[in-house]
Amino acid sequence: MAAPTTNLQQFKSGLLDNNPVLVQLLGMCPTLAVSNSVENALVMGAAVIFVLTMSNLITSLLRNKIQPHVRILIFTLTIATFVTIADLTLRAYVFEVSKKLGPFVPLIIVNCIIIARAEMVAIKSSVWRSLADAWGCGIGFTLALCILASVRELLGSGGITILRDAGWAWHLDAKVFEPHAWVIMIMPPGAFLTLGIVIGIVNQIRARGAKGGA
Amino acid sequence: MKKFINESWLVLVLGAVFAVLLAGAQTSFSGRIKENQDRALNEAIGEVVPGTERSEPVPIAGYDRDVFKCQGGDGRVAGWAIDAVGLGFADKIRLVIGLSADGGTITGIKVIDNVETPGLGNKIAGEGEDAWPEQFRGLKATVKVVRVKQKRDLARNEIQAITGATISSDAVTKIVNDAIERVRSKLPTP
Repeated sequence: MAAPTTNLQQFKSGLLDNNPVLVQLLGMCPTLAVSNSVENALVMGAAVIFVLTMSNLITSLLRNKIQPHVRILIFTLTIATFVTIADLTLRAYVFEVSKKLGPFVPLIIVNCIIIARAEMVAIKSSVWRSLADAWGCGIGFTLALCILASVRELLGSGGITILRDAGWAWHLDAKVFEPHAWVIMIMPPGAFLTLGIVIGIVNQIRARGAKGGA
Repeated sequence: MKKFINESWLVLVLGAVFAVLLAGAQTSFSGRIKENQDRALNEAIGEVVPGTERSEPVPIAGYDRDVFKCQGGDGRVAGWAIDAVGLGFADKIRLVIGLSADGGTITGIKVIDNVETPGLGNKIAGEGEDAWPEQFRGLKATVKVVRVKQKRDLARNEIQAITGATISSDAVTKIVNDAIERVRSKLPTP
């Protein structure tokens, strides 16, 4: 796969070919932990998109001033600041969800996806390129989480909740599908099972695509 | 010194700028966060002490957290709600314990803060009729609650541990027992 040359390619790369979760297998901890409902996945994804955007933006703006040997310190400082802001915002506006996400929002600080984007792209790319990368990877992360969460929530709780407060929740008829029959799907083993199967499917699709393109 | 400044000025400047940003975020959101927390507390009190219309904190000697006197619509004391905290498996667990007006019965418990393991330990905060904390409802407050594992027939004041989360179950039991022991005998007569 050729390195992305335009901003659009950079964006798409994070979304599909280089999806941080399904292809690079980074950030597994929050992926497994918060993909038990679509609502959690969306809020977590939004927090990651915000932090990734700010971290890539600031790293890219300062890329000519950052001394190489203190770069990791600066990345961490930047990431920690915006994670804290994201955490406070969630606690102020989506209190219930933020309680469910618990420590996983503060843990974005040590999420390797974000530091990897700063190190691999933002430190040596223009602002627009870095932003395209942040959005590609951020949306790619959210997409992966949402795919996992839809499967897990549908099978494990018999429904999908997109935003509880807005009433965007659907549940299968309990007569058709016993809501907690597959409760293992919203528990940790369900996360591993779903992730494994989804990665398998993605690899299959990518292998076919590579053959077709060659 | 010059070398030091040269290499670290950016870290220092960023540190200062970020500190200002964080202070701003903290001041602008702390009011709302406090409101959310208070609302959660009031809802919890209403749940553990049925019939509560309003509640007010009452001082209890030797207990440093809040104890609420809960009153029903007719002004009579509906019960007492104890705000209690203790160490769980991962971090602190905060819960509200409801006692009947005479202080003799546990009318319910509700976990309001916990970061126990999702899927296992966090069942201590489960909701609904079959949820784990429902076991506490109706137990005697005059004797200690005892936690048992996988036992068929529960004796009086025994509760079943969550499978795979004994530490979280123990933590809640201990917090409940400790708080009741420290508060119960000192409740003012209604």
